[in-house]
Amino acid sequence: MAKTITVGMATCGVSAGAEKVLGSLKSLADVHKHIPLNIGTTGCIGMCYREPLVEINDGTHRYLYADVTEEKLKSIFENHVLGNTPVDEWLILRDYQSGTEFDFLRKQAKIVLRNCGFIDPDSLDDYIARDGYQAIKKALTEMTPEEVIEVITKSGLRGRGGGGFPTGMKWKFARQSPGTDKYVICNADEGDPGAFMDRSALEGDPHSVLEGMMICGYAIGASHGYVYCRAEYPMAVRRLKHSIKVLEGKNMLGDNMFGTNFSFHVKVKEGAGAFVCGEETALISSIEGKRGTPKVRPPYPAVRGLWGKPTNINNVETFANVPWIVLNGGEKFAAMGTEKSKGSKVFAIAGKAKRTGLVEVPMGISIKEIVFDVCGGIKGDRKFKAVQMGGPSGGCIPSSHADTKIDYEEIMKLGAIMGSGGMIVMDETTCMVEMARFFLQFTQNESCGKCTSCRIGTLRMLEILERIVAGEGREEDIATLEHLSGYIKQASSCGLGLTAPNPVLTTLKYFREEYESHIRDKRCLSHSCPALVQFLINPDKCTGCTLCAKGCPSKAITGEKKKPHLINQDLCIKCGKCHTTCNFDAIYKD
Amino acid sequence: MGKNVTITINGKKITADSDKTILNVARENAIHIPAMCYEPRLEPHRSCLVCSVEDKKTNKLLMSCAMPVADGMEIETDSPAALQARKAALEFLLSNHYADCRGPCHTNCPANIDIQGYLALANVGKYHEALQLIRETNPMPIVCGRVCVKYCEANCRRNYVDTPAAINFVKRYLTDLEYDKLGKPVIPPRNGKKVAVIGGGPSGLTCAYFLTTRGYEVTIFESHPKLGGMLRYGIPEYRLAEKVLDKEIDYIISHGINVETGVKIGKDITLDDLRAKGYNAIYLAIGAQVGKPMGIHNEDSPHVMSGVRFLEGVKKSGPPKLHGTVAVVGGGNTAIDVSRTAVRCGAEKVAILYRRTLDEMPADKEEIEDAMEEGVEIKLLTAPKAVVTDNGDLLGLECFEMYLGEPDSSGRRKPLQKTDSEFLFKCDHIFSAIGQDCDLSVLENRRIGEIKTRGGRTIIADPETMATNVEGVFAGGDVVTGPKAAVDAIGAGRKAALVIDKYLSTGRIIKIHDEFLSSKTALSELDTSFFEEIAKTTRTRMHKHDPKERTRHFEEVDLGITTEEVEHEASRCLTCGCKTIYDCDLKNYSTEVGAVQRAYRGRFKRYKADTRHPYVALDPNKCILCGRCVRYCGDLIGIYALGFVNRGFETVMKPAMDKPLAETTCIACGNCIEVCPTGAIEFNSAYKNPGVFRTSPQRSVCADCGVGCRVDINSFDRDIFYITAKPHETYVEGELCKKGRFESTYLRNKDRIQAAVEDSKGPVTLDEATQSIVKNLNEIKNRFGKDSILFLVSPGTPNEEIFTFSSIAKLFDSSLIASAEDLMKADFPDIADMTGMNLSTIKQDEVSDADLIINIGPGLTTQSPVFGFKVKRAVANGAQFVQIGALDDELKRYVSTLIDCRKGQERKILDSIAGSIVKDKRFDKSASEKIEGFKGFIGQLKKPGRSKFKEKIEGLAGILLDSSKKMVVIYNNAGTDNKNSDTLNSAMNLLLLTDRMNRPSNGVVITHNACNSQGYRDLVFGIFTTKENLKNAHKAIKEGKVKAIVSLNEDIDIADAFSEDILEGMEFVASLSMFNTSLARISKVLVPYLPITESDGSIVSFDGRVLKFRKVFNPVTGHTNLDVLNRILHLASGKSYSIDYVREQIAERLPQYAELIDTKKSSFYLIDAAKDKGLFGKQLRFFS
Repeated sequence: MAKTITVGMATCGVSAGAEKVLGSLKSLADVHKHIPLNIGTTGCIGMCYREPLVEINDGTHRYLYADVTEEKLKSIFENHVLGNTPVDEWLILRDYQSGTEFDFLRKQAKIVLRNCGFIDPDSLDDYIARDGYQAIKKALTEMTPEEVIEVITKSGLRGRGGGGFPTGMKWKFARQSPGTDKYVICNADEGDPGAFMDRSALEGDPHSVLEGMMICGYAIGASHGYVYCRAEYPMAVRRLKHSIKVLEGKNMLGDNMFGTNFSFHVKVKEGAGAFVCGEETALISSIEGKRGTPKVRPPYPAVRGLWGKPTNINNVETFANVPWIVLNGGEKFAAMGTEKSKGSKVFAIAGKAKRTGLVEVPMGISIKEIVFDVCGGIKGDRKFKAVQMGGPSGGCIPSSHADTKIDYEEIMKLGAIMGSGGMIVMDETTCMVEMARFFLQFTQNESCGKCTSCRIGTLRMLEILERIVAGEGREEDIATLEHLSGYIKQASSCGLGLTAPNPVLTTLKYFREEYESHIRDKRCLSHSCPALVQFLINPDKCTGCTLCAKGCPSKAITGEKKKPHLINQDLCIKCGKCHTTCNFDAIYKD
Repeated sequence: MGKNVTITINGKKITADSDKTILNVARENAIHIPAMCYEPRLEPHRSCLVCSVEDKKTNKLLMSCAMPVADGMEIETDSPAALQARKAALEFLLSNHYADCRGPCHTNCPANIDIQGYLALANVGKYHEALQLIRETNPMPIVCGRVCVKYCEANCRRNYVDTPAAINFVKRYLTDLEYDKLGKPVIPPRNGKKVAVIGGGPSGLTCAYFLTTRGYEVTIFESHPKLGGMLRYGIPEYRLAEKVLDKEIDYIISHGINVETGVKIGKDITLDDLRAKGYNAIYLAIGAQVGKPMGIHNEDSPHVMSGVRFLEGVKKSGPPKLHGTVAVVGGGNTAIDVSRTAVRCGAEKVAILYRRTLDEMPADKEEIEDAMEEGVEIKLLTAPKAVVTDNGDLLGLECFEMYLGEPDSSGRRKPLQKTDSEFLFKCDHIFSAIGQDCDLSVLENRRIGEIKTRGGRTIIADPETMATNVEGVFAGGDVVTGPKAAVDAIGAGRKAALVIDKYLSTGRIIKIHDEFLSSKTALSELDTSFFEEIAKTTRTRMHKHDPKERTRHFEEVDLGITTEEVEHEASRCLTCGCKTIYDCDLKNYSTEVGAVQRAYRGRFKRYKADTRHPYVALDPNKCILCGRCVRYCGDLIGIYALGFVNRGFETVMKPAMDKPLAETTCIACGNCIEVCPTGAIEFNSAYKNPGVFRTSPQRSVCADCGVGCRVDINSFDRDIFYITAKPHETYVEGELCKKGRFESTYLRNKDRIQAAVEDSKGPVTLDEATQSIVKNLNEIKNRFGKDSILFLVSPGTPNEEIFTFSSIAKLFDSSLIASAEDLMKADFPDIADMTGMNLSTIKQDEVSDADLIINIGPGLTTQSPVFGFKVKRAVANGAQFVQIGALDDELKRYVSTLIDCRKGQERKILDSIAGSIVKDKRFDKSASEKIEGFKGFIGQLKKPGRSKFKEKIEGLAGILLDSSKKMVVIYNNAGTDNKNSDTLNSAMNLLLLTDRMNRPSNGVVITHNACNSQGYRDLVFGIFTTKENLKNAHKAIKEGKVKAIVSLNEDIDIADAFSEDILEGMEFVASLSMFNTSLARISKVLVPYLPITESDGSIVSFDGRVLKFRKVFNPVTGHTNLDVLNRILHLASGKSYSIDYVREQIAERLPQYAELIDTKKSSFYLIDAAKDKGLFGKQLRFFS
């Protein structure tokens, strides 16, 4: 049987060099034309940290190779493809059941990402082969719109964009709104720093999102849908447009699709990259061609949305869940998770974890399990400090709360939010004040400028954080931050402003001593804020190799050969170059 | 409508509609909630966050402008949490508000003078008003105009350009010119409370003045024989002449202040005595009049005298004769005064000994120059050590030479003695002028309480309230602060008066609540680069007596400056203060909550203002990004000239692509100015120096087109005013157009005819002019008989004047009454024979509910812009807009069907629509066939045939067949191209055919371009004459039968109406005219005609709204237009009509004008079509 060789060609794979690997593979295949081979591409399987990934399927077994280069590919081709001998050295998974990286998958539960990494995203046949478009057919032929909504309601699916609003209820409101012109919008304006769940889903399996939208359109009585996708996701946009075209050609989208009375059209609208356009009313304004700023609610979009018509907005992940739920039943989805948080959740893991990438875990799993069991713990086996959940709108959860379950309410109790699925893992070298400053700067930059509290208030908070990390904090700063946070959380009109203080509030809650030592002792406990750090040489370890002194750009290091060196603190610009060049670990931060 | 819910606001139970917001409900119940981004005509924006309130039930903060009311809410508008939130919002806004409410001249003036305001007034020659403005906070402008230390000029921003504006010279000019014209003071009734003021210096006088003018009985106790304190006894005659000072003091005292001079408190009478005599409060303002001792050896020698005692002696006993050398120790103004006085007393040599250098000398620089010019020598770095005498004879003053060390606490470098530098300064007289102390013996012999002092040197009083520790006793001026300037004492006196007034009326001592003042310097150092662009100018120098000559006498040295120099200096004012100071919401609300601008200091934005637009000035520095202008301009009138550029903190309100506003689509309606809650968008003033004019609004009407907008004339006086239209009644939307807001310049135009002129005699009195008119008209009537005189009247004339004028026509046996425009085309569009009235059949506002708007002809948006806004809004809300004929550019984005037929073809199009309807199977003629003329009408109709508009016409016919679709036809009579009566009749036919008459939002709106076209037609053709007569007039003119013309306010170019030979044939022409028009130029008698702002009257909008108005300004001629007409009437008939009589007459003949005599009647004379068949309907008929 012909072997199938598949290269992971999502953005993560491409940026790791998958195109070159694919190119080499094709030339090798050309050279060995006599050998029947199927060469394909697929989306992200989640192991972004090991890309490029290449899978060889010999018909009985599937082998996944990681960190594949052109060189390695040559060897794999010779040994495995031509010689039928897998190269164990680079093999990380066998049949997705065993292998060095199997731990990564062991605790995952894939619904949203069920096809990612397994199908060619551009292939409708691939999708159909895995039960694609069975759900919409079932809905159109066997169910009333009300029944569809009932299934979704029963599943307990909640909005995966971060708000966690029950999807069934949202659909019900939109269905109940009077009027014949209604809209479905898929929010693909994913903007949290470090988050790429939606991108992967769209790149790896666009059809499941489109199918989810169709089902929604049928359920609420809409005949038009928009995917509002950020223009920074060109691959996602291209795949969506391609899929829509293919579907339209087969009467699986458009007027009287599947030969039924139901008509549904989808357009892709590219956003210009304003973070706030992920907020549903701002998103609607943006589609309408207006300035993307949030609008006063009520009226909610379900009553008056796009072009003044009832509109239902869900994000990519929510829609991707929908076909699975319709096919498998709400009960099966609801069986997974906690009392109020059902099903699975996709997280984009970034930061100091050993395995960073995309994971989909069942609701109810603990943070500790994600960090240690799925992601393999902290790089360099340093101390786990906290995770930041929910991006700039979320908050940090300290390691002391690592047993917390993934559950909307549990996380909110700690001051963080589930968010859309960004999870940044931090270790002892991360300064929490600086982390808060980073996120606040992000929200400040992304403020649309409408509300006073967000436009000016968050800037004033940012200025305070800037001076704290610069070692110029004042005694009253913490109180001012708390006062401003309290006000901004009440006064702003959209999620961006309302949640902007969260990173500050949670770090103040769990890491207050770091703020205090910055302000009072002018010290950064994580030794990370440049203004508050001194680079020192441990004379016991210094061998006097002079490497540091040669590399110092400000000529701050002096010393005789073979004798311990000294850093002149007045000249030191704290670039940290010596710290990284020292071969004897003699230079430390204090 | 939502459901009814019950909420409480501030404890008050209110039932309200759940569709309304908390803010709406509160305001409907007269509960104040501040809000800045809220604009009733726009969707809630919820951005400024100033409208925050607290729901006590949930303890949640809510933004009241956007939050609908819900059952059970317990709203508190001013709970601590709500106030804190409001304050935070304001303080955030202020932290990025790089703007000055007031210039530094004002904020640094202890007497709070509105300096920018008075300079602006002086600049336009309003000297009296300028002086009065000064006197509002400072009753001693004569004194300050001469001797003020001028904190204003020291802080003037012009210092960054060149030299400060000579503010004080202008003040002096004003007092010299206008002081004698202040008029007799009006003494208010006494309130029964008594205040004793101890000390008649500037502080005591000021306090007494402000208390007296507030109704208190005030007595000043003064130990000296005369009032004035240091002004009189400390300032030499040559700087402040006693006769000038007396003028000021006498005027203050003439307000009813009691004065007891020669009474020393503590000796002649005690504070206890005053209490016993019933004084409710005491103000201690005894100054600091005792010279400070130098503290040197032998100082008590009789050759040493304190400077202030010397000056006092000169004032009281005349100048002594001085010989030899005079040494004056000190460096302040007193030292200068003493030395210059010594020069005038004949001293051969006068030297000032000062221990530092010229740079540190506290005396006024100009004074130092003056002294040096007069020969005074200044010995610097010299300090006295001992008075050296020999057997009682003065040898001189032993001095140290000094040098300057490090700066001391005053910031000046500290003088230090050079060792062994002692030398003897030989002299014959020594005057010490190193400062003054207070004489606190006033506090002796009293039991009312121990008034706390600083070691017996000065009295301790709260700097904000002037209250001492003893109840009812206040103190201010030098006795509290130590010696300071006159203006400081004046400021203290005023502050004390205001606190004492509050104290005596409330029993509480309250700090006078300061208004919030934004300042650029609160945010950071001033950006001086701004000043680099300003052209440098030279500061005016004071004209003075010649130095050589002036030392021989004590006459005032300063002579004042000229009128031209005043204008020059006033123009040098950089107008740092904001023009919106009196109605800025940001300022007012910040004052309300006590916001502090520096509370959240951080990064802020600086922008360049755009003042290139002729009418609108944009200053983004002041913008709070509430978006009212942006949303108004875009969402409400569809112009989109303004927008938000950038995002987040970088967001700025301005036109796109950095264009100047003047180069955008802006139609200069100025509504953005109106909706702006701050000074970010202001009038780009027409005045020379925009000033801060404190105006007050008076309701009037716009005299431009026939839309009938109410306006507010916000005037300082008849020359200075701004026109706005704040929403104040349901109908008035508070919007204006360029014409109404900016182009009514004729109201203040200096070119207006100001006096009557008779051809042969030149200027004549009104009596002479009217007599001549009547005499001439009588002659003509007698010679040529009936209808020999044409009475021309402009449709822009108020009803009452038209009525009286037409009555005059009757007297002269003429039925030829018309506007020139009607004369040119006697067959003006008229639907009277179809409906019974020649009037729009619906109200303008009904257009908002229309489904289909058919606009006929061009020019709607230029002729009736405000109605154009309403049309655009209706289209934005879903109406279809059909244009028949040429399309206005402004309407391009609104048009859904354009039938751009040739001019004159409009009727054909309308008839084709009717034809298409009639031929349609679905057409139900049951209603229309009952109307007279139906058969004749439909008999002549044709189908559209092969017209290129066939499809569109049939489409429209299809819509009209649906009786649920509401149709409004706009017959744009104002557009000059569109004068075809048939077109209007065809439009009416269409309404009748489809049974759309007398149904809401179905009808025809006929626009007019003069403000009273409707009233003119109603009156002239409804009471005095007929359309037939109009045609006769046309004929009579051509045939030369008209021998005289009398014109009322008709400003049409006369050559358009009559050929030259006809005009030459006139025996007599008389005009009441505002300007020198072509008709005015050929008039034998010309009488000034006054605009609407100068008379009482009424006009009628084109949809039949009767708008009464009162005069805003007194008639410039002293006589209203009605006065003039009445004179003519009286001369001709012996009768004259009061305005009330005229209105009764009109209302009697035209019942729809009942509003004129009965204010309870609706101002619409259209009766609501929904309820009543109305004025139309009794005699409907088709036109064919």
